[in-house]
Amino acid sequence: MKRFLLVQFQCQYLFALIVVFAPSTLLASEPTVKATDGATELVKRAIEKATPFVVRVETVGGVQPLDQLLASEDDENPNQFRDNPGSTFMVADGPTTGIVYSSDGLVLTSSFNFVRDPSIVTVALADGRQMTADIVARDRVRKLTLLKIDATDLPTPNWVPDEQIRPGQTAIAMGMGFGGSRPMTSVGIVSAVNRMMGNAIQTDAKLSPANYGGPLLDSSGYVLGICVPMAQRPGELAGIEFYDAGVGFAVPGERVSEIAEDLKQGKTFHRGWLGMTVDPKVEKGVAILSSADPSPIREAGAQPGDWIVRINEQPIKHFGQLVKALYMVPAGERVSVRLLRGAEHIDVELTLARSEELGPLPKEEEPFDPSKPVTEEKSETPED
Amino acid sequence: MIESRSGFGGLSDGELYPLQVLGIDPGGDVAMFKLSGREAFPYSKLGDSDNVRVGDTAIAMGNPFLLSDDYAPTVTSGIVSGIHRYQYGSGDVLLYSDCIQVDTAINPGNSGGPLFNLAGDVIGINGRISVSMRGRVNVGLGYAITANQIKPFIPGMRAGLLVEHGTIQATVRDRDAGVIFIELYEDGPAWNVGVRPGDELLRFANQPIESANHFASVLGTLPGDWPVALSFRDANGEIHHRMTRTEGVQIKTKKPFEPDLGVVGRAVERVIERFRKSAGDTLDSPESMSWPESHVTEGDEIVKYEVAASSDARMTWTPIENKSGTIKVQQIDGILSADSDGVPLPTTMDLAFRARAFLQDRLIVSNPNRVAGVFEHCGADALLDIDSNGISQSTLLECITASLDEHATIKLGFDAKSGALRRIVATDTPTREFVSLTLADKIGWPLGLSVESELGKQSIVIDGQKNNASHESPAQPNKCVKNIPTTLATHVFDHVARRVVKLIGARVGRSEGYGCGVLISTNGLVLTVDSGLLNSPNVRAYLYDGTARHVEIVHADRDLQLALVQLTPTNLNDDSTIDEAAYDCFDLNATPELSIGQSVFAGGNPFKVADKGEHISLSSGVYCGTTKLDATRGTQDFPYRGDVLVIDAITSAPGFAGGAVVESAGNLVGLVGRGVESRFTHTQLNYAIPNRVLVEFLSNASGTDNETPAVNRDVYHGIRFFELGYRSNPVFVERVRRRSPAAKAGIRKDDLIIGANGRPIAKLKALERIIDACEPGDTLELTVLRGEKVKKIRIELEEPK
Repeated sequence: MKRFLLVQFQCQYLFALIVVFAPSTLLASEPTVKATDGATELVKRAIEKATPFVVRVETVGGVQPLDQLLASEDDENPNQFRDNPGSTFMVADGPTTGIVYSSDGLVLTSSFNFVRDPSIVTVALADGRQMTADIVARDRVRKLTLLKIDATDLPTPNWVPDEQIRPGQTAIAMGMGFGGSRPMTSVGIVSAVNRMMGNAIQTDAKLSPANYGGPLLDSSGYVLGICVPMAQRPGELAGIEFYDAGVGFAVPGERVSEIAEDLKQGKTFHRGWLGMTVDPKVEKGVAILSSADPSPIREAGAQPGDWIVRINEQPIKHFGQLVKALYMVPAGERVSVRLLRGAEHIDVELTLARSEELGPLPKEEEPFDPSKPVTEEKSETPED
Repeated sequence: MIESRSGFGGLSDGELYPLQVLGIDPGGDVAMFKLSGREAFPYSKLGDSDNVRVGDTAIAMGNPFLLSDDYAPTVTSGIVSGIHRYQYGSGDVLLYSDCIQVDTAINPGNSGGPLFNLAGDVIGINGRISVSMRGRVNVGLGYAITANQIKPFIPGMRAGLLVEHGTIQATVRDRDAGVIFIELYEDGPAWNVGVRPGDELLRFANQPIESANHFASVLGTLPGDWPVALSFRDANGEIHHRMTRTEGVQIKTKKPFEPDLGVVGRAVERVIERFRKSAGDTLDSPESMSWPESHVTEGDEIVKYEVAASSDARMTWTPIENKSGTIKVQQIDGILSADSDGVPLPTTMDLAFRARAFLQDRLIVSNPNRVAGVFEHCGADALLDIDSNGISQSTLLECITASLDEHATIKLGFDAKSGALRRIVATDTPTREFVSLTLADKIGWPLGLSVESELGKQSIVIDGQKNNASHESPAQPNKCVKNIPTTLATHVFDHVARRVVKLIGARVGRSEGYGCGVLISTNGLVLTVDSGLLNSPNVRAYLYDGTARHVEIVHADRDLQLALVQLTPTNLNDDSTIDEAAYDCFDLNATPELSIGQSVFAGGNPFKVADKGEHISLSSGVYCGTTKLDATRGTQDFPYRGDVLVIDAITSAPGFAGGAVVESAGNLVGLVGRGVESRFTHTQLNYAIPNRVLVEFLSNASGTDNETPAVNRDVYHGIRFFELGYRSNPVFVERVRRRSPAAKAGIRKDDLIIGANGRPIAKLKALERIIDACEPGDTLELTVLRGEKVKKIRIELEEPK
């Protein structure tokens, strides 16, 4: 599937921002020695609440992932991100972060911390105990990993319900990545919700390997999500290029709990594909240009020239909505698609495939002559 | 999009709306477009960016990295790090004059998005960022084109034109004596008012000019053909105050920008309607308002807009449509609808332009920015300004104010032939005070007019926005003095900026040719990082007030990567009254306790955005925690291995090193360290060297040459590690010598070392580095894996035998 972005974004959006102001500590000629501000107090209380369930994850062994692997395990164009700083990133061997997920020893962290496929994993709890851990399962789509340690009665976090997360609210990231026995803290705001097809919230708190796998907290110490690197490209290091750049992601609670059930069963998630290309010149609507053979979309009977008008009951008016409907839906999940051929609606069900299961695109593209040109002018694909 | 003039804009309601590109300002990196497809769009007001202070909260919205699937914007928050910043463009285009620098996360894709203040007003349009070797991601410095820079260009863009920036055909440079004119074009705007090479520029556009950058900043906000005041000192030391008018800078675009006649036509339509509403009933006499017939006939290729008033004061307009290159003329009588497109007139210059547009033949197409006069909107004093070479401003002011008072009804008399304004008549008793004109009140916007009187031909701008407390002024449509809450950062900034010096020298080796230092004594001792910059010839320190000092190294420490320097006077400052014992400084001993998550601010000069006389940048963040530094700089180990304060303000940008990190009351907590990459994460670390280490360094510096050369003494532990070629990975214990420290501590054969002194160990090399840093007598704490059990074992290291 080729992704063409035709999103031109104009933001005229007023919002309510919650800002905590300190009593203005006016600076006279000499500064007062001790000053605290309201925001600092909130952060302090939040991290006190969260410290007991934040753990240090250490890994030993494994290999440095290679460029080619990063560029994509499952993308047609492995070179498209060659210039991307993330593709030359060397994974360090410092400690990483996780959080206790259940009191009986499940620990949730980011799959970023395991890209080296380490042979040994240990978890150090806030109370000082350190023990070996088993990897239960990995989600390569949401960048999560579930670990199991042999411990009971562990302190667990409270999660913020997804619908209560608002752009503009305070977001506090915690991580062990720079060493020491206490987690370090970075503070920002929630930048957006419903990113990465609803799999992530976005924050401008500085996220990096120092806190991937750690919690993103609200100002009362509840967990908004688990910090992970993410970008709209495949590969487990995708998103590392945004480290400390004010563009960070966390998988929110409800999504975590959905995945966690499967992870507990040992299920590993891969990215899912329809197996088609779309006409980039079409700005309204999504028209199939060609499909791989075999591919889920071809097997479902779709033909070049068909329009995709609905996916899982969501209307698809433009490519962005198609991306939103499918991006990060893992392989193996069933999807309902409504096609428009001429004046006829065709409803099909299909199962997204892993990229390895897709065949090649047909050599000679079947001619596609949309009966109704959408625009007379030469359209273009905006880049920015 | 500029070529096709169309596209789509997605709003946070998840919908795409068609957009039409109106006009462009290639010189300022701005374009204006219009959305359609909805009855009313929500919109933001353009605020007054002159009120922006360093430290103000700045909130950006946009679509960085095109992450939005549903068109909901990304919201990021930070502070204003600097104001009046100048960013070079390429050639004549993409110049950022007078921009706002923010530490708000601005990334590729944020371009074109708004920067808000806490009042929800747009103070700028986010444009670009400084980037380091990391690639195109934010490293703490984003730049927004100020709202006020955009405003003068809006009328032209809204009218569908390519707008030009102004120049005075002169270049200036920073010289020790001040800002000096270097090159002038004969017959240019500066030359014509008597400026000659070597003269010193003092004031420009009502602002004292502090640097060449500053001049460029101010000039960049002015459109072409804009009247501007200029003060300079000539070779004889005489000071001149002159008015001149900028020339438009012709910009070569890839394709010529043809105004969209439909857009231009609508702009004229709006002007006429505005004018009809406000002044139509009070026009002097039907005769004087009879306008020339349209000279446009069917098939004409040149556009000409003209306006006529019929005897009952209704407007008749001749709009023109462009179809396949030719022009069709249509006659429309009666009242035209104004602003039915739902977009409010966005700036105070809106009508000024359009009034001129209709008052002057061919003006819109041929000379879009010929706005007649300058205005200071929002409570400033100067309401009138006039052409160069004309009568004095006060004379004209008197002339007009003499005929007006607050209840005056203004009558305008136009020349039937030229369309120029002949008379301004007020019906009531004259007063000396220039208050809101009835005309302008109704309009709410300033009106630019051409005046032909016995005094000669003049251009004026009448501004209806005069805010006079003694009168009940009508609701101000663009009241811009808002009470924007001060933040901790706004209080801290000045305190920090007075105590951080900018070091500017030459590039030596890998060191940047610029950096910072913090003042720690009233007699000019400055702490900074030990970098090659200090060894460059003629390195100077620039203070808050813009004055320069020589820098002499007092003491430097390679291991701590710190240096102490003394500021001494230069002969640059001809002001001999400088008191060399009166520097503002930080108190290193007033070290406050830091708690994790506490607000901190970093002051420095990343990317040398602040030149000499300009103030440093301020970044905001929190104290993340303390760790021992284990890092590399370039390909080498970074010598300092002690405690550092990690912060989440980005200080790893070049030029930040040596800056100050302070807590919210302005007390110094540490010195920004040199740019390094953490071995723990392979990321650039943002950190400060804590006061405690700085104090230690100072006590060494004051001590009598007690420099004990660091001898790296070997230690004995008694473990032999398993080595398989050079990829010894992981670290197994192959043998433990009997009665060795390791044996005593309980290390056994086949133990797997997975940590040492609190950090994970994956490679023997990493362990060796930690052991190398130890001395006999030190304790080495190893984390070992024995079977499934994790154990911590402490070894007392001994002298080698």
